[in-house]
Amino acid sequence: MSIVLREVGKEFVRGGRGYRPLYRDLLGKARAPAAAGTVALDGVSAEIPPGSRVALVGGNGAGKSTLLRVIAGIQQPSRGSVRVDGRVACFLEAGAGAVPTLLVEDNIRLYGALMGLERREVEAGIGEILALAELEGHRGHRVEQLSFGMAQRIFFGVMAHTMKLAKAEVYLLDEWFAGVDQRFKQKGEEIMRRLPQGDHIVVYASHDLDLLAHLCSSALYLRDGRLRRFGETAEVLAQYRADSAVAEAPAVW
Amino acid sequence: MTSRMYLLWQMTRASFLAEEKNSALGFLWHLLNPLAMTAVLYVTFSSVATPAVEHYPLFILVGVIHFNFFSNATVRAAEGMLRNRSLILNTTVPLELLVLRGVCVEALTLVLEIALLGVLVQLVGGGLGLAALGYGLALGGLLLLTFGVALLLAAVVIFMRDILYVWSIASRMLFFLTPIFYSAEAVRSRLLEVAVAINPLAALIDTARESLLYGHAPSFWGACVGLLGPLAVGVLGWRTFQRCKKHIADFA
Repeated sequence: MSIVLREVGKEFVRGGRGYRPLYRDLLGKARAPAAAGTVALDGVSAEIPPGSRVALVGGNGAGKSTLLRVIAGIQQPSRGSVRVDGRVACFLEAGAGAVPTLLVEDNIRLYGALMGLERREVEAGIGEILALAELEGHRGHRVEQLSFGMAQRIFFGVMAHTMKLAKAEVYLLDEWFAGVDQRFKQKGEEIMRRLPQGDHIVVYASHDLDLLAHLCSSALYLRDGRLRRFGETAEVLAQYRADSAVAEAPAVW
Repeated sequence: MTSRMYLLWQMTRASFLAEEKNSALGFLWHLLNPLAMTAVLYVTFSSVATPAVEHYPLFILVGVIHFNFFSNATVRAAEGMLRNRSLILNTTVPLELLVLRGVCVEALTLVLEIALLGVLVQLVGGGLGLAALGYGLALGGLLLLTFGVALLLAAVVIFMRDILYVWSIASRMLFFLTPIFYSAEAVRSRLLEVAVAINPLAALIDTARESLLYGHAPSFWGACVGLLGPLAVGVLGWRTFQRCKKHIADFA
């Protein structure tokens, strides 16, 4: 299992015909040119070998999520090629597809199914997932009755269960500890250090650099859609920190 | 059960249950809706002219139930592509399953309505003998036709949302071009006669009625239109969707 990116480019063609009603043209309201396409990724090349734990860093809009989606096959690259050996499981948004009005256990089933689990695998894991999330007493509650962080813990539990069952070889994660408290984050970090085992690849996009430093063996730094640096975690994070150092905020604020 | 089937079931179940929230009658609305529509059509049209059809209320009900399934499932599947941005962008769920979910949620409703229809058919002395085979055929054709149109709409709607407005008008027109409250034999206009003859939905509903209400086997022409039409639409829908799907996440 490996991920090979060769000169990967991704451009979003937005703002062309079809994004504004015809009458706006007729009334002359759209005299300004339609917004140009957005270049999200530009010439990104990297080889990620088996067993890698890769930190994916970069500022807002640097192309991290797009890169994860391109690796997952959710979006197609506009240029270059992506080769992924192995099944992909992605956790790009905790609880994507969950239905807050349904019960916690129903959401575990739904989210587990979305992660590619089979019925018996989900049913066998419900107790464990609730225990990991420390929400055994909330099994019959609706997800909307939980706080944001509590719901995140449930989805983290489903993700950990998926990893434990080794349902995929490549795991793509995006900001998985958003909203959870410090104690749970430490527990989750400990679990992430153990899972998944073996040669599996994990790519973890986050702004939590300390967490990434603990978890990852290498790091990939994107800036404006281009690969700024790919290499050993400490060095890459140091460069990202240096690049991110800004002058003081404007005085008016 | 494979993981894909399990996922489809969980998504279908979740959509179905989510709609029951804050509703006093819940799924019973799915039964009351076609009954109310049938009552209105029956009262209206039987007061205009004496119906020349045996079991006229059930005749309308069969038409309404199956037409509603087609119309609601296609819209639900297309809207599903617009309302599930987060799912499309952040999970690897096969997009065909998202379309199929819309059809399956409405199919759950259809099952409830068919059960009700079965009870009513028994009450008027209809039977489910060999002719039920014809109904099975009609149902299969209807599911395929619906999935095919749903795929077509879902493939296009992300790129051009106007298609939902166009489809809303088109399906309203189709309601009148399909013999739901009138029988195909009563049609006087040559144009409408042709429209009905080549309309697969009309052939399927006619086959359903003939088998359920009157115990007749489907006509040769009806079977041809009712099978070949859905097959053609199904293939067209599938191929169109396969061509469009890799761009769907870019425009979601």
